Amino acid sequence: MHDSEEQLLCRAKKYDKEALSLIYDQYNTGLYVYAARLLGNPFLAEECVSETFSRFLGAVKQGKGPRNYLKAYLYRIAHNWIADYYRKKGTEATSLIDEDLVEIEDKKPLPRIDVELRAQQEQIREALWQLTPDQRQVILLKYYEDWSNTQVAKAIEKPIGAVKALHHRGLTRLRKLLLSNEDV
Amino acid sequence: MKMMDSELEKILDTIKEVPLRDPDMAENSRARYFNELKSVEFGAVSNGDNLRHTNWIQKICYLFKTRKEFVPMLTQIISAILIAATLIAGGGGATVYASQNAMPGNTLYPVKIWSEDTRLAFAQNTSNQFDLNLEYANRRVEELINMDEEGLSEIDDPAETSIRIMERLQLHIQEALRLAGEVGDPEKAMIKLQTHLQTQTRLLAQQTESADPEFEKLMLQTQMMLQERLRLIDEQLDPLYIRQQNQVQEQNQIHTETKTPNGNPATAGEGPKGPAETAQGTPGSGYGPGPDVEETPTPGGQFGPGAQHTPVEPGNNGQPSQAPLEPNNGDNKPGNGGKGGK
Repeated sequence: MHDSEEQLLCRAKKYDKEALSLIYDQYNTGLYVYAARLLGNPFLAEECVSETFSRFLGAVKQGKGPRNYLKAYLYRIAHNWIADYYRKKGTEATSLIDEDLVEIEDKKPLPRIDVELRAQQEQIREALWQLTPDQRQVILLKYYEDWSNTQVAKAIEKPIGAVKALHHRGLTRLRKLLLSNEDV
Repeated sequence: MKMMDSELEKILDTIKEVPLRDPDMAENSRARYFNELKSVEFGAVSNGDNLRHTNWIQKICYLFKTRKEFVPMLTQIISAILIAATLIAGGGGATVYASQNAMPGNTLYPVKIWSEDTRLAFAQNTSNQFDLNLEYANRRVEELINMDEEGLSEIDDPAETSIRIMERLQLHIQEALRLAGEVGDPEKAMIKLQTHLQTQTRLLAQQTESADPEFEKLMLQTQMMLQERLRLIDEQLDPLYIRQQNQVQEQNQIHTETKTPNGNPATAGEGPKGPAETAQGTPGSGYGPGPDVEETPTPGGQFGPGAQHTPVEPGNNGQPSQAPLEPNNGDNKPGNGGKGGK
């Protein structure tokens, strides 16, 4: 496996199955973590990974897909999938499985810390979804995924200066949402 | 310039770690991708995005615009005009009613799909939506079986048609699975869905034994998809699984605490070093030097990018064990070329 991302993408566009397999193996785990962190649900995260790669394959088949920056493209698809999911379901989306858990919790109480942690995680996710889409994606990629400004700029297709501004505004808003107002 | 205070950082770190990825689920996801990859040999062009339960007006257009050859497309357009004329003339109800038994390849089949989507779009009640999805999933299985029994010769493009049916089946089940968590009694809904899937799997398995060789592969793929969903349901209904998931989370937390005696966020990495630690020009780094060179350093950078949230289980998809679960992990694979140091 000596291909760069560009070479891999070039091969993938010719429907080279080996390249398409390598792409999956290379990026699926990172995408899973990204999705699981945002969705808080392993089942949905798996679904997001599957759908991301399915859309990627669909695009390749139709001669579309990314011209470059494959990784940024895949994360963008995953992010859009998650955004669509939240848009469709509203803020209740994150509790799809949690509701089941709560039912079971009634019978078999979970550790208290676990419930508190879940509530706090939900609060953070809710705050993240109150940011603008670009602010959210910049925070997620820079803070949680350790992407550089250059990488983020490619992912969101904006100049580096805009990324820095979005990052700053996003953090300011998060600070307001999470620190100034306990009830957010 | 440090942009984030430690208090905010501490809060945000709460979702930095994610539970361990289930190796079986990861393997299933991988199998789905590779099945889809292989399905190209079957001659299909996936168009799954067009088959969602949203944008149904666009979907009607989609149903009438997919033919590549001019004459079949013209036939479809004429059919569409005739159907529209019939609907306008007041025969809509009869047409829709008549279409309910239409099978793929039949002129009225698009009307059937359209009527299904319309009913789903107008079903406000979650429970109704759930039941409709179950019913439509059953219809798709029936259509697959019928296509195999009646022969594929009467359908213009059997491969493409059958894959579209399978995609719709998958969407109905996916929707049902999602809705099951929202109805009044999720456990009961899950059991109902489970029963339906078991029946569908059994019917397909019976049909596969005598299936047309051209069709057998798709039948097997469909069964695999159904079995995967069944497994998800089994797990959601299994209290032991829930407990295990919670134990894993607890273990993660304990692990985190022991790794960060100074109260640092739980990401002090055990994973391979990422770009920030390996300095610039790391071979295989697809994106260059990482946060260290940025004017606005990311807080995550301080803790090392090996952010190791969910180590991969050994033997998982042939990926390296204990691989860090951040996107950089792929880039750090040896020999991945790349634009390191850019």
